[in-house]
Amino acid sequence: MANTLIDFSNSLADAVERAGQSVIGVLEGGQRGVSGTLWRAGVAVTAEHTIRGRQEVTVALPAGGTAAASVVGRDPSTDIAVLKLAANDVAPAQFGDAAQLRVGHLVLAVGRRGEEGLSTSYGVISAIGGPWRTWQGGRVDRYLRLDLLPYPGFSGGPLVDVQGHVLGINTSGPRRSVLTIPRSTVDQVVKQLLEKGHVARGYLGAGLQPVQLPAAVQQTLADKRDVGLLIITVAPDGPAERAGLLIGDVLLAIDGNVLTDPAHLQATLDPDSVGKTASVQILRGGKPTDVNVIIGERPRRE
Amino acid sequence: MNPFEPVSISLGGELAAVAERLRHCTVEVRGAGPGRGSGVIWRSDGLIVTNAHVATSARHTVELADGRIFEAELLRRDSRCDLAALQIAASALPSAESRNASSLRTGELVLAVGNPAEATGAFTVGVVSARPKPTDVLVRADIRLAPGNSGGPLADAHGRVVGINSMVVGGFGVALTSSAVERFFCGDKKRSIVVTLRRVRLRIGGLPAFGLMVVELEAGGAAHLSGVLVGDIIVRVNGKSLNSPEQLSDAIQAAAHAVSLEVLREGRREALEVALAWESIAEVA
Repeated sequence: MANTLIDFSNSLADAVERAGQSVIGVLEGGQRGVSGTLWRAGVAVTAEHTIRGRQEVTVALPAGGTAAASVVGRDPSTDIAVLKLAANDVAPAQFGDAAQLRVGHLVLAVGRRGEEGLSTSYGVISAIGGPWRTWQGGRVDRYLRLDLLPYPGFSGGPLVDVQGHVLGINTSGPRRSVLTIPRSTVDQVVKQLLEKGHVARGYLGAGLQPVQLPAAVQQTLADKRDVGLLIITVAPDGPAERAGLLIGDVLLAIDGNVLTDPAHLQATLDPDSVGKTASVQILRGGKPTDVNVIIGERPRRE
Repeated sequence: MNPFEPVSISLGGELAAVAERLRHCTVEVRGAGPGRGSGVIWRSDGLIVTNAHVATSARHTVELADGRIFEAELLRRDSRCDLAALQIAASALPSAESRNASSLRTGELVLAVGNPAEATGAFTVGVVSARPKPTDVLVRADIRLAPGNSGGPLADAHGRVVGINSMVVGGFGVALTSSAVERFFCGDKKRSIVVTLRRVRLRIGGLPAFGLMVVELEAGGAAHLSGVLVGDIIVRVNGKSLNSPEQLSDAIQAAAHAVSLEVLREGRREALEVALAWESIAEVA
C-alpha cells in the first residue's frame, strides 16, 4: 500500500491540528468571523481591518466554547491588532524559522470557523523578497508570495509549515491574494502595541504632491532631476510648520535621500525616526535651501 | 524504500498508482446534450452514482475507463440532493471503496478524478479545507475542480471515495458526502411531499403571521397530486397555525396517511388534503 502518500496526508492533517491548538476564531471579525493566533500566553493577534472600531470581541477557543477578549492595540499599517484573552489556557503558537523558507516549500493557511472547527488551504511559497512597505506605510521584513487560495475567514490566522510551526500571520491582499506578515515583523508590532497601544510612525505634517521642475531649475540641481515634492498643505503646529516650511516649498531630499515620490518620504519615517532632527533640502524661490526639521509622531486616528 | 531516494519520488509514484485505481472506478456520463460529466461505479454490478445535474436527459451513455460504452438506465434522480443513480448492464466492475466523510481530518489529502473540458480521467490533488460534521451533507476541499468533474469521485489518500464532486464555490471544491450517497441509495426513510418552500411574513386579520410559500413542486410528488399549486402559501397544518418549517415536516413524518393543509390562494383560504404516498418515491436498494 501507499505508505509515503498516506504518511504525507497524515502529517498535513497533524500540522493543521498542531497549529490549530493556537488558532482562535474571532466571531465579530469581518462579515462572518475571522481567525486569530495565540502569540504568547493570553495574547493573540488578528487582522486589524476585520475588527476596526471594536474594543471587545468574542473568540472561539480551540478546546471549544467562547471567551471575551479586549483589543489592546492596533496597527493598521501592518494590519495587526493585539487581543488580550480572559481565557489563558490556550497554547501559544510554536514558531518555525522563516529564514529557512525556500521557494517551493509547502505551506498551509490555518483558520478557525467560529465554533465550527478548523479550516485550511494549502499551497507553496512562490516567491520570497526583501523588506517592503504596505501602502499605509508599514514596514514588513520580508515579502512572501504564495500560491494559495485562502479559505473564507482565514485573515488573522497563521501561515504554517508542514510541521505546523507558525511562519507569520495571514491577511487579505489585493485580488483575493494572501499577504503574510512574517513572524519577525509581527513580533516587533506586538511588542510596541503591548507597550504603547500603538506603533509610533514618523510625521512631517505636510501634504505633498510630486511636481515637474522647470528646466531652468533642473539645471541648477546637482543631480539634474526633474521631479520634486510640492508642499500643498501644512498641518497647524506640526513638525513642518515649526521648522518654518511653507506651502509652495518643494522638497528635494531628506537626510541625503532623494525624494521624487511621497513613498520615499514614508520610507524614512520609521518608528525610530521620531524625535530625531532631519536635514531637509528644499527649493524655495527657485533656490535650493536646507532646513532642519524635528520629526514628530504621527497623530493617531481616533 | 531506498534511503537515498528523495521522498518526492516515492510520493509521486504512489500518487500515480492511487490515481490509476481511482480512474478505474470513474466513468464518463453523457446525455443528449453536448456536455459530459463524471460518475462513480458504486457497485460492481453496474450501479453508477452521479449528480442529478449531470443526468438530465432521457437517455444516457456511460463510458468506462477501459473504453467500453453502455446505455444506462436512470434508476433514480433527485434534484434536491443533486444525486442520480444509473444502472448499466455490466458485472465484475471495479467499484469504489467508500469512507465516511465525517472521519476526515482538516488538512488531509484528497484526490479527484473527472472529465473537465477535453480531458478524460483528469486527476487533481488537494486537501480537506474544513472537516464535515456527521450531519453535514457537503465536504469542502481546497482542490481544483472544473464543470466536468461533477459526479466524479473525491477520495482520500488510500483512494477511498469520501464524496461526489458537485460544485465549485469561491474556487473551492464542494462534494456531496459518501453518507449522503448512502442515504440516497437506501431510500431516505424520511417522507416528503416534494415541495420547495420559502418563509414569508404575512398579515392575517391584521395580525402578523408566518407562512410557507410553495416555490417549486416536483411533478408527480404528493403535493402536486393533491392539488397544491406553486404560489400557495401554507398557513395551517392539521388545524394548527404554522409557526416554523419544522412544524410542517414534523406533521408529515407523524401523519398516518395524510396531512391537511390550509393555504392562501388568490387571497382566499383553501383546505387541501395531501395524501402521503410512499410508493411515489422510487426505491433502489
